[in-house]
Amino acid sequence: MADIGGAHAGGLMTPPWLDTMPWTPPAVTAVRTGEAALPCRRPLSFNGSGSEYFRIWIVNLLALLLTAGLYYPWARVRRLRYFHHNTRLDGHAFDFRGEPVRMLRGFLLVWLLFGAYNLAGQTSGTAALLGLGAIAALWPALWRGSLRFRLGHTSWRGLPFAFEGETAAAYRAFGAYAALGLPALLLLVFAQARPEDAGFVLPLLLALALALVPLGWYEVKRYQHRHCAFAGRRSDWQATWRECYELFARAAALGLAGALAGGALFAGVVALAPAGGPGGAVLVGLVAMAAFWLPLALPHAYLEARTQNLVWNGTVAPGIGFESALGVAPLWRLRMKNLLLLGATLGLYWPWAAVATARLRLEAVAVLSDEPLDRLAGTPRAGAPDASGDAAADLAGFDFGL
Amino acid sequence: MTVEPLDVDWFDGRHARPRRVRLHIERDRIQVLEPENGRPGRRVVLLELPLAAIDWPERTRHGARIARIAGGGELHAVDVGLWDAWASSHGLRQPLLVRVQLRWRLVLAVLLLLVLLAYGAWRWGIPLAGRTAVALLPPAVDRQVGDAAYAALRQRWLADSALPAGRMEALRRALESSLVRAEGPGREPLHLHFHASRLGPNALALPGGHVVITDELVTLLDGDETLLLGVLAHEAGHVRGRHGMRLLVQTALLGAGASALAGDPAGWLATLPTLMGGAGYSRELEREADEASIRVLRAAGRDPAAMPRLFERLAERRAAGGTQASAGAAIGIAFASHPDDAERIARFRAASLGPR
Repeated sequence: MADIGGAHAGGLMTPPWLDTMPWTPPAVTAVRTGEAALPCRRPLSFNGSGSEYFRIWIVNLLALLLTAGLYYPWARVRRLRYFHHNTRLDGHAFDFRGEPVRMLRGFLLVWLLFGAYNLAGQTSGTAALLGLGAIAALWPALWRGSLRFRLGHTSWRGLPFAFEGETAAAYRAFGAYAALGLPALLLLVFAQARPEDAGFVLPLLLALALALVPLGWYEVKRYQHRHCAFAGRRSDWQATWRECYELFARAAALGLAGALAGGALFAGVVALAPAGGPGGAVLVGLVAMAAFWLPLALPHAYLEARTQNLVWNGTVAPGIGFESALGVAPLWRLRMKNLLLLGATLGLYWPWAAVATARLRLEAVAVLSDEPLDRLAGTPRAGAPDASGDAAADLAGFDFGL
Repeated sequence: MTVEPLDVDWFDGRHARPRRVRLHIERDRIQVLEPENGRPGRRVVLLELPLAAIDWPERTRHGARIARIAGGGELHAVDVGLWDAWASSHGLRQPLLVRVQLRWRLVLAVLLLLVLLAYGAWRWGIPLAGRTAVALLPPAVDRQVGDAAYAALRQRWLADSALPAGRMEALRRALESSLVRAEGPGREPLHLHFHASRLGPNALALPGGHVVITDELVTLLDGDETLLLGVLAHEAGHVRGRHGMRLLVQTALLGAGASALAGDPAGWLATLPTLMGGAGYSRELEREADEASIRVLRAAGRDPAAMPRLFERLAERRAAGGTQASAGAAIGIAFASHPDDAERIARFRAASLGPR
């Protein structure tokens, strides 16, 4: 539950549903075998606004620039809160309770880590490799810390979420990725040293990735979604690795088809282009780029939509289930629109794009439960988890799915 | 003036069931009251806290108002408009940034300010920081970085020179004496390396005083001593100004700044200003090195106006066989990293010694 955002508009009036709660009739409750029927269905709603997020973003940027980046945790909290406060479930919004001052320390630590790595990368290859190794070795621990921090500071109706996964299990969850990463690194080093004999490296890398990425993704998601806790319940994840392989295989097939189509379109545009001056060449280049990327965006949208559905349809907790029906076509259309407008506005459209994406992804999800959600009860929050992991995940652009 | 209590939903931090309550602020204390339920005047205090125990939410046009109670529990607005009016009538002020962000006109002013600040940082701030940082950096660091870079370059791209030893020695001496004449003794030592290479005709300076010139360039210039001296003095200018380290520091700073500013939208967006801005720094340093070259040539009694021949030869060669030139571009001596040929030619011509 990372970027949960959202709620309803301006002069918002929460309906007085408190006493007579109109629960949706038990219609769509296809829940996995072994689970009791979950008759209550509550969709998530998101009501953030691009123009408002734009204003938050610009003001955050100024504060970041004036403080040489030290404002970052505050900017981050304000951004998260905007999205949380606009995401509603059953009439109430989510909240983020993280404290910027506490996050600053973790942020500085991670900034130092990545800064040192960057500097090492510019001076010598060996140092960069060592730095990469160090970051890879720390990554599962940082990532787990980030999950703990993020979930531990997210709440709904005053009840905190929690992440209860152990560090050792986090390292095990990254085992498949490590089994992919190490040989990949060796192959790349070999290709660097002897480029003449490296013809086999690329096909081998692709085969390795196809074989291990679905498993790695499965392991990581399983760890993540088996250890979430809310209101005294622990989540479980029931997707199988078979489903993951099927999904990734379809995405790879689509990707291949997309690459072929894109290549053909690209060649067509270049062949048909009139020979003009340098301005004409730039235009043809742009059109050709677009022709190449448009078909490739489809497998990307496919992967994004289907993984979200797989993750959330597979997540359960005692008396609680989820339903995610994110369509590939709407996501693809949105991505294309965002891309065009981002390009046309030199990136200034970004807040609108982020808000529209959050809305599409969040509103595809509904929470199922065996009894009305306000019967949930939990234990008071314990000590707050550490913040350094959160900054790590954020700096690396790591996305936790929703 | 007394302010009416505000109806809100209270969550106690243990149950997901909301409880409709009224909030009342009395000086620096806040009371959570039971609703009147048709019996006006009835006051049952459910909870009383110091005002400082509440973390009030930011005001936004969209989105919920959730106040966090220290130690657990939340207060949710039932009507956002009423909440905001109630909060401001109690003097709960919004932070300055929030007040700015609520007004489009101020936000656009901030956007303009941001553009100006970013330009200023790129144009003056980062170069100044780069110069300062490099001045503070011990030269031993340059040596280490340069030694590593030279070793890597040598392994991948450079072979032993085929030039006669006497020719190398003569060039070395000519450069050394001109440099001493132009700048006086007591410089950091310069390590001049001659190499046959896959880079085509080229010369480059690395941190720590390494200057590499390729056999191909010596051949291309047909042994014209003035041109060779001009090229080597240009590279020596890079060495003297520690340009390698400066470029390293400046692009690192630029990259950090760009990803802080544009990193939110997308990583790839952040690389664009880094590439473009970085090329700008590189061109600036090339100009400085050209100035150094001019100084040295003049001190050696040679005419800088001869240098345009170098650019002509290189251009001829580029026109003749594109492949060799692109090999040079591949290791990062991209042409955009240097100023326009025409500009450089004009600078050397302007520095002409004139008829003597």
